[in-house]
Amino acid sequence: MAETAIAGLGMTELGKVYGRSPRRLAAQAVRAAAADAGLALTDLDGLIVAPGMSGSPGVELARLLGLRDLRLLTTMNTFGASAGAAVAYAASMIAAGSASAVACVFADAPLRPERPAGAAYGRDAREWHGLDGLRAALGFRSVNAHYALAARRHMARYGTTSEQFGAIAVSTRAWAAGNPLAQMRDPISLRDHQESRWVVEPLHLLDCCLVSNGGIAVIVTGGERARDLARPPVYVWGWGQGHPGHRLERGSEFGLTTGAATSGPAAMKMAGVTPGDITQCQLYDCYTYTVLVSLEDYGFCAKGEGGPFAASGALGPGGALPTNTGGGQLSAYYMWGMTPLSEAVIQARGDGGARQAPRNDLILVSGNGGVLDHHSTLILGPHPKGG
Amino acid sequence: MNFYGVVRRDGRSGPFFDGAARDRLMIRRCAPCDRWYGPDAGGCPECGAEDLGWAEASGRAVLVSWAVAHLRGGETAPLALVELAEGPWMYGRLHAVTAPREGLPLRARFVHPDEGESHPLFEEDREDRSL
Repeated sequence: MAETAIAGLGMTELGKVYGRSPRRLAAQAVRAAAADAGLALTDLDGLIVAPGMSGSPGVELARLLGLRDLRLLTTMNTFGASAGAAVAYAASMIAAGSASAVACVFADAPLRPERPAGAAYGRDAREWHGLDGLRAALGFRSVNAHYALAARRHMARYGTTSEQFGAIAVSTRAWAAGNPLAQMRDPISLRDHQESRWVVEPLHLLDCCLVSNGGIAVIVTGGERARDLARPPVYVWGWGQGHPGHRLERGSEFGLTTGAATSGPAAMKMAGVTPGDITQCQLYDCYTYTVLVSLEDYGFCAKGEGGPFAASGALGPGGALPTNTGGGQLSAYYMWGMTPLSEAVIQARGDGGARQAPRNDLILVSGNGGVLDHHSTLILGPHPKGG
Repeated sequence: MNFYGVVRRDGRSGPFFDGAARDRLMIRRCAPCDRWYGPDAGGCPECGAEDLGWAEASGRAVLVSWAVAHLRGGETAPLALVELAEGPWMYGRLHAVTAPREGLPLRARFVHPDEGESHPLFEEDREDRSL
């Protein structure tokens, strides 16, 4: 496979950014990413759009940006796994000679100033309809309930504790202190985590990500092209996807293993590396639990040992496996798969400032979509593959 | 009983709610494949059948996982993922389960509200079925 790299990164303001549609945010992110790479919009010959919750852009984004004669234009959606899958697709098309400079963009604006963040992904009504409505009436008002069931199953099976989830919230917040773009930067303690209100037990408020508005884009090019552009290339070493298709029936591994168990080995095989070679992780952290189970499935610790591993301090500043060094979705901003991807690019370039992790040679990036239904992995680094 | 809104049937759920009104748990079954599915299954992934029949389940289940939703207004909702004796998993709500654990035997009991459809909850099954 020919060498490919991420050559540009563009980020809008992130968080409580109101008054801009997802389409405008997406356009702004693509423009910023191209400028970051030192490319004109006319240099782009590919655009992959990953939609968010609602009102998200589609392929008409190309027209809004005035892009002409594209050789690749599509939307891709496996929810939180989209960003990694989009970069992999862009890299594949570039390696095949079917495109040369591809923008991958995600933008969303679920937050509105007049309503609480939880309402963006939740529902409430006096009257409910059908079986789906019955489930909501019983108390399944948002995806929080489903992740709570997944987390509880892991706890019941392996003895994982809320304090171990809390260790991830604490280490992630410690990293966020060094990220000027993070929305939550004040340090928290395990006690703060334990005393934060319940959302859906066993998930506390501080187990849950920060719903955010904004847009992020990256530009993927061939490796040689990237070396001639404005910023240090971030090479794409490997990728994978895993969609376990858990059926809700006897024997299901729901909550215990995720698509990372197949996506990770595929990506590492392609990169020619093992978990021991990875020097930092940027993991999809919609919930603290998601990080914990992903670490197990990637093989950074044994199945069921994610709790003790998280509590060991390995993930925080000074730890053996720096993870979510920008504050992740928990403390910085929830831009689906673009949160871990953007931080990986920043770290690979050495642009992390106060939060730059000491070793950035091989960065594992995960994406997770639905309720653990979809998974994507990227392995990125500042050095050419095999170099 | 906590108040959590009125439930109405839609075009796909009539037999489920008719069953609940008579204290029966109706789920989906693919007869040719001899496989059971949850009440909202849209088809049989084994044979591709698109129209699954309804069949009465025993109402017996074991607890797979559980959670407590803290809803606006201070109400709490004890949620559950249960494995029906026939094999499918089903989302539900627990009733008076004080010590949830994996594998806890459960059985469906039915709520018949003044307004809206009847529906199941799951309570601990204390009946000794070992014989």
